[in-house]
Order: sequence, then structure tokens, then C-alpha cells
Amino acid sequence: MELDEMKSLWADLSLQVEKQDKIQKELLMEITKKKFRSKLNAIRIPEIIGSLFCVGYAMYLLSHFSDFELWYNQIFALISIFILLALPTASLSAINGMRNLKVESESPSKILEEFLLSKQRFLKVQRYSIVLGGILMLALISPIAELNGSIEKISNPIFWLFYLIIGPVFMYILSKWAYKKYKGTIDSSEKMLQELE
Amino acid sequence: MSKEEAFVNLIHQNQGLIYKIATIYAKEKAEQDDLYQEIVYQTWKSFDHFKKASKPSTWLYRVGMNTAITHLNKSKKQLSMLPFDQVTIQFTESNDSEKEEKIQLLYTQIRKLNLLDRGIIFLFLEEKTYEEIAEISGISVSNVGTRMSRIRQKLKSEMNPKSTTDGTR
Repeated sequence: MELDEMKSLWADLSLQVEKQDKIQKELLMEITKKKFRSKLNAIRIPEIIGSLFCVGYAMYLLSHFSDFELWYNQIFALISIFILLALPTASLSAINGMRNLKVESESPSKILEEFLLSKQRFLKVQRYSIVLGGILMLALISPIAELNGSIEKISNPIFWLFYLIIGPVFMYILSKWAYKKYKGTIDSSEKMLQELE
Repeated sequence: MSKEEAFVNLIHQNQGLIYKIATIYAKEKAEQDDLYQEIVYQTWKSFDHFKKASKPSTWLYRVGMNTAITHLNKSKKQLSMLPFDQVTIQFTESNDSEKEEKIQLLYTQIRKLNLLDRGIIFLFLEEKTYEEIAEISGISVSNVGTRMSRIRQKLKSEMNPKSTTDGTR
């Protein structure tokens, strides 16, 4: 099929499309308003819940910071607080980068470039989040045990033997999975970016 | 005329255009409906820009293409289509089955192109000049020419594999 034939086919299609019944005018505004509400709920609620959970936990650790008698628990608590605050901040700013693209004023080539770059940034944040989540899992155990008064449990060497074997294995599997999951997407984004040049 | 009325009129007059964008960017029916609704939504969200736009027709093409690029790239699994039975884009198919087959083949081949090239061939088929395509898509006129010849080759080889391998024109 030559381009001229495609053009004539497309012209026929355009005519055909114009003849079809259109969505009623009254319904168009209704769709738009419902879409607006559903998007707010779909995007913001999980983000807000996740962020509140992290910030709440960080606040809990901060408010009990003076209760830590063991020096290493103070360090672990600080690491945990840092991760709990850094994770939602990085994640939210990466999501906002993708969401705040100006579809109304930028050109498609610019939008595509910006979108691919922010998507790569988002995926990288996700990848680091998994590793940081694993570190958080390890760092949080001891301070929480001290706050709960169950320090004897974690003083048991067998606990740490299991934890230090299972923990790194779990983290390794998780990171490997995340790397695999995101690598393909990042690679295809890079390829698309190269094609734009 | 109120803002809502002006918006509804714009969408009503351009439903065919939005439908065609949704169809070349999305394959599955549910995805197409979702994209259709998303373009309508994004148009409303940025409707104040439309009134300031020097070329309203260019603006709508841009919003449609930009929405398709960003929306479909986010996640193919996260459809947020609203359950409006009446909103399902149900454009009847042509009675001419041979023509219908060719149209479907054309859509399939266009969807194989990358996101920007899909928009470029779409604008070309919409009878836009290279200058207009360059203005809407944000690339240079010479780049449009280069991409068009690449797209032409690609579509030709995909749609007429035999003639390409035989070297016939």
C-alpha cells in the first residue's frame, strides 16, 4: 500500500467517523467531572496513606529517641528516621515530575523526552527504595525491640544468626528482582530517547 | 458562552479527531476508551490555555498526542476508565469488508511505529503539511522529512512484504 492509498483510506475513515453518532453533549461534562474525581482518588489516596505511614513512624521514633539507652540503637533509629523521611519525599517528587508535564503547551517531542527522563528517574527511585526498604527492615528491628522491652529476644545470637542470613538473602533476591523488573523499561526508554535525537 | 459550553462544543466538534488519536495509540478497546476519556479530561484541565492559543486546531492535536504519549507510557495495566456505557466509542465499521480490512491493517502497522512517528504519520494522513507537522510535533521540518521517508519505507515493507523483497515498485 502506497502513502497515497493510505491517505485516501484515511480520508474515507475520517468521513465515516464524522457520520457516527456523537456522545451527547450533557454526558461530556459529566465524564470530565467524574474523571477528575476518580483521578484524585486513584493517585493521591495511596500516596497520602503511604507517606503518612512513613512520617508517622519517623515521628514515633523521634519522640522516643531519648528512651534509647543503647548507643547503637540511637544510630539505627537515626538511620531509620532518615530512610522513612527520604523514601516518600523522593518517591513523591519523582511521581510529580511525571505528572506535572505540560501537555497543554509543550510539543509532543519535548513531552516524550521529558516523560522518558522523569520515568527513568522514577524507576531509579523505585529501585533504590527497595534496597533502602531492606536496610530499613534490618535497622528497625533493634530500636523497636528496645522500645517494646523485648531486647532479650534480639540478644539471642540464634536470632541474629537467622536474621543475618535470611536478611541479606531476602535483600539479594528482592534487589535482583527489582533490577530485572526495571532494567527492561529503563533500557527501552533510553532507546526511545536516542531515537528522538 | 460559558467555559463549560465552549469546552463541550469543542469536544463535540472534534470527537472524530479524538477517536482517531485513541485508535492509533491504543490497541485494545478498553485502552482506547480509557485514552479517549483521558484526552477529554486533559482538554478540560488545560482549557484556559486553549483560549489563549494562537492556533486552536494545533493545540488540540498537541494535547491529544501528548496525552496519548504520557498516559499510555505510565502503565498499560492501570486503566481508569469510567463505567459509562454510553461513552464506549462504538463507531460502526464500514460495509466494505475489503476496505475495513485495509483500515485495520493500516492501524496495526501504524501502532508498530514509535510514539512520535505514530503522531507524525497521523498528522500526515490528516493532510497536514510538513511545516504544520513540524509545528505541532516540535521537531524541525527537515527532521519531519527524514522521519517521513523512514516511516514510508517501514510501512511499505510491512504492508507489502512481497513487493519489497522482490524489489518491485
